[in-house]
Order: sequence, then C-alpha cells, then structure tokens
Amino acid sequence: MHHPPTSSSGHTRRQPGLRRKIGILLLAISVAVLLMSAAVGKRILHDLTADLSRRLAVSEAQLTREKIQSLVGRELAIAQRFAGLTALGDWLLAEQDPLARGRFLAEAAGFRPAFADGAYFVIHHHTLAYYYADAERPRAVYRYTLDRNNTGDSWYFSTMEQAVPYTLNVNPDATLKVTNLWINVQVRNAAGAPLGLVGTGMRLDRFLASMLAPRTQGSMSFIVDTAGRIVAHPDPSRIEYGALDKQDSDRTLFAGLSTESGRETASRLLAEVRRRAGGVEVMEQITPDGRRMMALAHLPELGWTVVSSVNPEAAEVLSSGFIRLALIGGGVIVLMVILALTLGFDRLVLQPLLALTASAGMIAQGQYGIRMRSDRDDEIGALSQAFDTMAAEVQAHTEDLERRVAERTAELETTHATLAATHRQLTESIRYASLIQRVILPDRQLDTRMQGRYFVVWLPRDVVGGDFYLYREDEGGCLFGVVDCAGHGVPGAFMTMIAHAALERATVELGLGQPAALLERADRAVRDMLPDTQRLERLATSMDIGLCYVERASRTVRFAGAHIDLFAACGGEIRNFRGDRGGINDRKPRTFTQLTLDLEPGCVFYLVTDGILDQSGGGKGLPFGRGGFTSWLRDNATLPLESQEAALTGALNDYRGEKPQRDDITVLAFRFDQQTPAPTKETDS
Amino acid sequence: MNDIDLAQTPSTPLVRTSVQDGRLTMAGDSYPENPFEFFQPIIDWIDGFLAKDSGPLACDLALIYLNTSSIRAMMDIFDRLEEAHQGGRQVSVHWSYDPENERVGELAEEFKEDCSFPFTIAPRP
Repeated sequence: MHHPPTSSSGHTRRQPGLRRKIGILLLAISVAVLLMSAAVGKRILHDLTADLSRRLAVSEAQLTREKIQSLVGRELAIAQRFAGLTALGDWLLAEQDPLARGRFLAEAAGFRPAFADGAYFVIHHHTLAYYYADAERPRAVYRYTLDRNNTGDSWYFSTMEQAVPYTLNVNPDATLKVTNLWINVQVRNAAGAPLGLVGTGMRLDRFLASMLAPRTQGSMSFIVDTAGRIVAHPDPSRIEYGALDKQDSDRTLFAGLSTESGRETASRLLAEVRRRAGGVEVMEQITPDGRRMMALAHLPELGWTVVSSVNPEAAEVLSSGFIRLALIGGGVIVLMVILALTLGFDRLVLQPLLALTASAGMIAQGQYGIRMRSDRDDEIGALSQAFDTMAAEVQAHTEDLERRVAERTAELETTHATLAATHRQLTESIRYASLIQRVILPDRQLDTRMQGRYFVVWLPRDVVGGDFYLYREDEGGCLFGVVDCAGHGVPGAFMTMIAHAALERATVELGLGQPAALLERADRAVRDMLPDTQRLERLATSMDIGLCYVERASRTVRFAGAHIDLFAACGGEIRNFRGDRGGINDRKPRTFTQLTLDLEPGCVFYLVTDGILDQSGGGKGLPFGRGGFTSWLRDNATLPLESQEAALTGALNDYRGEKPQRDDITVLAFRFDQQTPAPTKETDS
Repeated sequence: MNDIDLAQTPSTPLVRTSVQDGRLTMAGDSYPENPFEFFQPIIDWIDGFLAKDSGPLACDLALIYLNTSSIRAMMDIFDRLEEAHQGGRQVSVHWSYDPENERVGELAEEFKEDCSFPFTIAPRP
C-alpha cells in the first residue's frame, strides 16, 4: 500500500498498515493464547482436581483404616488385658470353683463396660463351657457347652489348633443383616497348653456406619473383603452378607465399575494392597455415576480392604474461591503476556519502523541531521544503521554541495559586489565626466542669443560621447558647428577635448568668418597634438566637423564640412549640401570646400552628425539615412523649432524601436528670419 | 598560419578566412568596442597571406554598418590590397549590399574611389 507523502506534522501522518496488520495478528495470537490458556488451565485444573481427589481418596482410605484399626486395636488391647487377668487364669483352671469364679466376675465387672458393646465371653477349654456377659446381664452366665460335632462350634476348635495370641473373626449374619466382629484371645499356661478363649464381640456395622458416613461431599468409603464383596457400606442395601461363592452378586466392588480394564485393575490392586500391608493403592475408575478416584487401604487384621471413592466433580477439592483466583490470575497473566507482546513488538519493530519512516520523510524534506543510533544486532538494527549511513552520506553530500554552492555564491557575490562597485565607480566617473563635457557645450550662449531660433538634439550613446557642438559670435556674425570625433563613450569624449582645443586655436588665430580655413587650421592643430606615430597608425583619431558662419551684413551663410552635410529647409524645399569627403586628422591633410548660401528668411539650417543617418531601425533594420531625415524635414521643418526638437527625438525613438542607439547623435538647427544676430559682445561675467 | 572563423555578433561582423581558397569573407555590422583589437588579427592574416603566397586574394564583403574606427580599419585593409595590386598580385573585392540601404552603398563607393584593383559593388537581388 503506497501512501503519498503527507504533511510534515508527524502526528497527523496516517499510520502505515503494518500497525493495523500487526494488531490483527496479535489479536489472533492473543485469542489463540487465551484459548490455549483456557485449555491448559482447564487441564491443569483437571489434573489438579484429579491429584487432589487422589490425595483426598488416599487420606480418606487411610483415615478410615486408622479408625477401624484403632477401634479394633483398642478392643483387642482390652481383650488381651482381660485375658491376662490372674483371676481368669485361676477360673479357667477351676470352672466350678465358686471362689475363683467370684473373684473373676468381680474383676471382669470392671472390664466389661470398657468393651465397645459392653460384652465379653469366656470359653473353658477343659469343659467347653461358654460364658457370656453383656449390658443386659453384666455378670457372665453360662450359656451352653460347645460340641466338637456341631459345625456351628467348629470355629472354636479350628481356632485353638493354632497357638496364636488372638484371632479376629468377622461374622456377617445374613438373616439379621448384621456383621459381628469377634475378638478371640487364647489363654494358655506357661507350657503353652490351652486353658481357654476369651474375647468380646461387637456389632461392626454400627461403628462402620458411623465411620463410613460421608465426611466430605463427593467422597464415600466402603469396605470389601478379599473377593471384593462389600462387607460394609454407608448404604446397607449394598452390603453382601451372603456366602463367598456368590460371584454373581452385584454387591461387589467390581459391580460398580463400568469397564473391564477397570475391573482388572481393581482386582490387581486389591491383591497388591493385601500383599503390601500398610500401603495405599490408588486408581481412577469410570463408574455409571461418572469418574471416581478410588484408594484402597488394607486391614490385615480383618482381611478387609477399605475403598474410599472420591468424585472429583462433586468433591470440593478446590474451593471456588481458589478457582476464581486461578482464573483471574491466569487471565491477568495472559493479558499481561499479550500486552507485553504488543508493547514489545511495538517497541522492537513498529516504533523503529515508524521512526525510520518519519526520518525518511524528514530527509525527503531536506533535514539530513536525523540519526537512528540503534545498537541492536538484528535486522532492524542493521536497517537503522544502513539508514544512518545513507542519511550521513546524503548529509555529507548535501553539506558539501551547500558549502560549494555557498562558496560559489560568496565568490559570485564578491565578484558581483566588486563589479557593482566598479560599475558604480565607472558610472559615477562617467557621469562626472559628462558634467565636464557639458561645460564646453555653448548652451548658455545659445539660450541667451538664439532664443526660439535654434534647437539642439544632443544624444551621446554612453552618457559622454565623441559629439559636441559649438557656437561663437564676433562683430560680423556667428559660427555654428557640429563635431563628431571618431569613437564614442570615453574615448570619443577624450577626442572632443582635442577637437575643442584645436578649433579654439583655429578660431583664435583666424577668427570665425572662414569655415573652410578653420577646418584646415584645426586639422593641422590636431596633427600637432597627436603626433603621427606608428602606434597611432591604426587608431581612429579622425573627426567630422561641419561649420556654418552666418554673416549679418551680407545675409549669407558660409558652410564647410569635413564629412558633414548641411541640410536646408526653405519653404517646403529641402536641400542637402554635401561636405568634403575626408575628415579632420584623416590619413592625409587636405583642403576644404566652402559654400556660400543666401540667408533666406524662413529657411532652417540643420547640421547633423552621422549618428542619426546611420541609426538602424524601421521594419527592416535599415539606417535612417539621408532619405529618412529628408522626409522628416518635409513633414516638420515648418514647425516652431522648440516643437521640432521634440518631434525629431520622438521620430528617432519610433524608428529605432527595440534597436539600441548605435552612435552619438547631434543635430544643431538654426534660423534667422527678420532679425539677424545682434552684434552685441557678451559681457563676460 | 591559422584561418579566422568568427561568428557574427550584434556589434561585430562574421569574419572567415581561407588560406586554401585565398578568400576573406566579412558580413554584418561593425562597431566593436575596441576596433583595434578586433581588426588586428584580420590585418595580420592579410599581411601573412600576401607575404607568404602568390595566389589571388578575393574579398567577399557584405558589411552593413561601419563606425568610424571600422571604416579606418577597412581603409587600412584596402591600402594593403592596393599595394599588393601595384606589386602585380591578383586581388579583388566584391561588396554586396541591400539597395534600400543608401548609406552602405555610398560608403562602398567611397572606398572604391581610392582603389585601382577590381572592386565590384552589387545590390543584392
């Protein structure tokens, strides 16, 4: 996805799609992690529950066994103390001795209440007389005599065959639905000859019922015999009082198990727990009511096995508070992991990338000082370093360029400043030179003497120039002149000084009246001033001069031109009087021709240098020429002279258009109508 | 010796020389700021050519405006041609101009007056 570069403000920059994608990815990961956590948690919870259920079952089984054993052991201990009574021994030796019987009964009276059921029996081995005492008959009375041939009495004879200190005999009564436990303690003399059997009987089911009563929810205990038949159960209907061979009975441990493998396991563990007395075996079983943890603890004295069954679902092995805590804790941990992932990814990948992007943006805007400075040794670190290198490179190049540009600019500025200063200096110098040049121009005299009867167009090309004009008076008349020195600008201006000096010398020597003679004298004067050296051979130092002397008395105009023409406009007729071809200080000295013209009223005389005739312009860029000037004269020569000046300047500008002025331009025009020039000498101030 | 090949500028004419063809071509306006510097190489070339060779020299000119200094320089050039012509060298000038431009026509005529070698002035058709 390509984003066009955005504005420079970083915070308005649209986040690239990566962050969104990563967000989605992290969300997916988080959901997966959550689901997995839930599964794992459930599993952990399950395992924990199973483990705790197992422990609960074990402890239940052990506790039940302990209780039964302590009960039975207590009874046995009392029975053994009872059997050790001297009075009993004496009585067993002499059953019919009233004295002995009395002593025994007196002692036995203290023992009887200590027995659980408050009953005892005594069997005399010699007489096989059976005495029995219980709560109803506290003093033992004779009941019957045992008979060897009576199967009901066979237990006694089989018991006495083996000289064991005591035997326990569990006697389930299917008719009465009771289970009696008989504790039989043999009494023998020192030689080991049997004297009798004493003991106590107790209604086991009564105790067991209280013992097996469920203490915790979801757990129950019952007792099975070696064959797995239930001999004690909180629910009496489950107790099997029947014979050992009733295999189809459902009142067995196995009947409550759903799977064949479970039954096999139960059978195996039952044998195992019998072999390892004192141990506890645990198994997980599937019953019709669901999963159960079962612990087996063997009671070797009774040949019974306690089975404690725990329902993990029902048993509150884990308090709901703990589960809630575990769930919240797990959730918090998962959330923190997700947060850490997100933040870590943001910090490790997205932030550097965004920073890189921002930096690239800044570089695009020409800020090269940016540095990532990552010391990471991964791909982003490498990217950042590459970026830094690039930025540094670009910065170096840019700075180098800028420095060079600055240097060049400084150089240029210096040069420009120097040039500007030089130009200003030159300009000022030339403007000052122009002031000096204007000093030689006879404007004040013309203004004073020729008011309204003359005009001058004086346009040096470059502020100063090689053209100037002159005006002199003497008693007989006045001299008008235009001078065009070779070149223009400063070189031309130098030449005007020479020309001015030469003409000054000529007029001082010869007066004003003879223009041709003045030209010849000026030519000589210039040659004197500029020795014709080899060095000057090819420098153009010539000058064109046109002179008109207006003689009052004869009313004539004497004209001589060194390469300068005179135009005369008389009542619509334009005449062009050509001067001589050569100029002053041309290659060879020469003589000049002088024309004498009548000073007719209404005639206007024009002396022009070649600047106006050579000025290019018009449609084809051709020179203004004699033709151009003549046609202008036709249209304008009858205008008042003050207007003619502006008209000529305007016409010239129109013709020139975009073309530059080519040379210095001078036009000096004069007329004498009724009045001839006044013969008054100027009073020098 | 090197030939000259200068392009035309507003104030200087096109100048082209050919030693091989014995030809000098000039066309355009001529009012250089420093005429001496501009014309010196041309004069040097003509001097060199006339000194070195015995072949004819033909000048094709189509100059339009010349300031005083340029006129002076052209006079120098024609002086050299005249001198060579007097010495038996074959030289010629052909000046073509726009018949509407009376000034340059007059100028060419003035130049021609001082020359005895073949100097033709032809209005451009």
